[in-house]
Amino acid sequence: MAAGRRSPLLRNIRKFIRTQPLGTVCAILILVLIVLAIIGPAIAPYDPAAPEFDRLQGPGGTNFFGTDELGRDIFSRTLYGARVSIAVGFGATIIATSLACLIGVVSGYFGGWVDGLIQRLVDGVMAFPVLVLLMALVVIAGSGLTQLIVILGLIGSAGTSRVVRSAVLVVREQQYVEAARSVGVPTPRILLLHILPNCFAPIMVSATVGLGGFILAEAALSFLGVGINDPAHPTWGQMLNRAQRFVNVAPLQALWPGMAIAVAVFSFNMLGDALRDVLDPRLRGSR
Amino acid sequence: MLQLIIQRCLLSLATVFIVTVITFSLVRVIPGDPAVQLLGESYSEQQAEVIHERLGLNEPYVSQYLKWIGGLVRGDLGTSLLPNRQPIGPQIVDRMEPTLLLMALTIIFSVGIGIPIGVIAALRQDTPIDYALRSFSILGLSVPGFYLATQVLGILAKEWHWIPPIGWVSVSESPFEAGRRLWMPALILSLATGAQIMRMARSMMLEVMRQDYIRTAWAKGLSERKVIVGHALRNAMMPVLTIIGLSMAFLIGGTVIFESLFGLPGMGMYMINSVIARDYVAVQSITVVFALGVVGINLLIDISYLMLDPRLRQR
Repeated sequence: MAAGRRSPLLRNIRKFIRTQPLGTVCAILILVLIVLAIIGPAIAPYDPAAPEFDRLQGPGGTNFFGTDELGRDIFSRTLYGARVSIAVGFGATIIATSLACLIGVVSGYFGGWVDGLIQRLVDGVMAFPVLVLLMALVVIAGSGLTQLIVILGLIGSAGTSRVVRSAVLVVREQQYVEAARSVGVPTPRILLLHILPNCFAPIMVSATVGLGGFILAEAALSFLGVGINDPAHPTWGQMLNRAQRFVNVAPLQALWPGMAIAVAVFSFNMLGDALRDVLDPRLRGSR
Repeated sequence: MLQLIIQRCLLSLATVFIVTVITFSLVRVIPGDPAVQLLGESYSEQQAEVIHERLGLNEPYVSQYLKWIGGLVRGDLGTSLLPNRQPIGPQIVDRMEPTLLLMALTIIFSVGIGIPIGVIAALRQDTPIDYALRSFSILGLSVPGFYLATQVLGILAKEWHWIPPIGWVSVSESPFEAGRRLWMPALILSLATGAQIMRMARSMMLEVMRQDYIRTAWAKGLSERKVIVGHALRNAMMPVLTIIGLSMAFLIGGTVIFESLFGLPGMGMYMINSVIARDYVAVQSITVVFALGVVGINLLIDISYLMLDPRLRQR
């Protein structure tokens, strides 16, 4: 896209920066996180899996964040952990959002018994505590990165589909949809070109907040020792799990992965909030 | 009224049906074999076959499902896959007390923290107080409870040599000892749910404060206290009930983590141990009990809504 002076995208970004300072800071934090996740291996000073140093050292010297109980560099491990969190967050969000669009649009647009049936199913999925369902699924499917992303995406789609459905219920009553229908535009085309794009705002907000939730869920699972367990692929939750056992001798060790999780989740939550303010003026000031 | 309640119950029954079907399908539809997960890398076809046989995985799905549901209704949740082969139903019942108490105490704390803060933020909308309280609530939602708990435990252990009391003492034996084990995890856990309730209370309060009857109340010269407590708060509290219902599922996830952190022998601890042991019969049973609990509580909340709000009854 040509980012000229009058580009609407650029204008919108300027407006966002002006009206949502906190949201902008969070967006920058998220960008930094993504960049760190991508270039992590290039800038990590040491091998995250190699126990090369004295154990349980505090921050400073050769190791910015200190070393863990096996003598591995915590800074490198935290960097590598970002890769897992970002992969889980974005992977699960892409799956959840695509599926939620499909479910929500079909349920909301067709209504009637289709809607009734789908909504009972969604009710059923949402009755399960996410963490419990996650653990149950991990027992069966295993807890590799791919499995986790798919499982989280499937579970997460239920909640988001509710958001999509309620947006569709509003949009389908609009005149332009009726106009399209009356000139004989085929239904799939109406759904794809008229309904879905007009539900963009709530979908975007839901996806952003959901992304933070997925990162948190993976961290919780790995913290409990039933998530990603491969020591060669450190994750923040896994690091926290280990740090917790040595919290008496090395309290700072838990700080880095814990802060990383908190900052990531906080940023996505706040950005979601800011997007909601900008995209849905009705809710402004009354969250 | 009665008709509405019956309608809600039927709807919940439909959800219960879906919940059982989902739990039942978990192991059968998801690619992956529980026998393989249980036996690990070095499994033989024969061993796997024995486990399939024991779990009844070779029968047709419908008869498997009916058998399982029949057991569930009678309270028979099958036997553990572990060598001890304990029946799972009594195990779950034994572990309910700490879990239920932890959840109840967490709800009390989160309502006690969330509602006053939410109301204050709403009454001081767009002032520094409002921003501070809102940021605080987002922080409560973002900092993972398990991380916070880790740090608190670490600091307490280092500075005051305090570690959480080990083991569980039933309330019937000593309410004081039980409370001593519960208040700390409940307080930390309630920060997240309290933050949610705070946000809801705030937005509801803002909405209600703009209603005509509030303006009328101000206009006829009622004191601030009367307007807020007597008129606004009462009307703003209803949706907060819904949030409590919605956060039930989240809360259960929290108790699973906190039970393991604070050594409380509840259902969550049982769940984690079963997951680690790959005892999938136990996992399946605990999962369905948790989900049925969530459905039941939400049904109760819906019914109490009907009882409390006269507007919903006019049909």
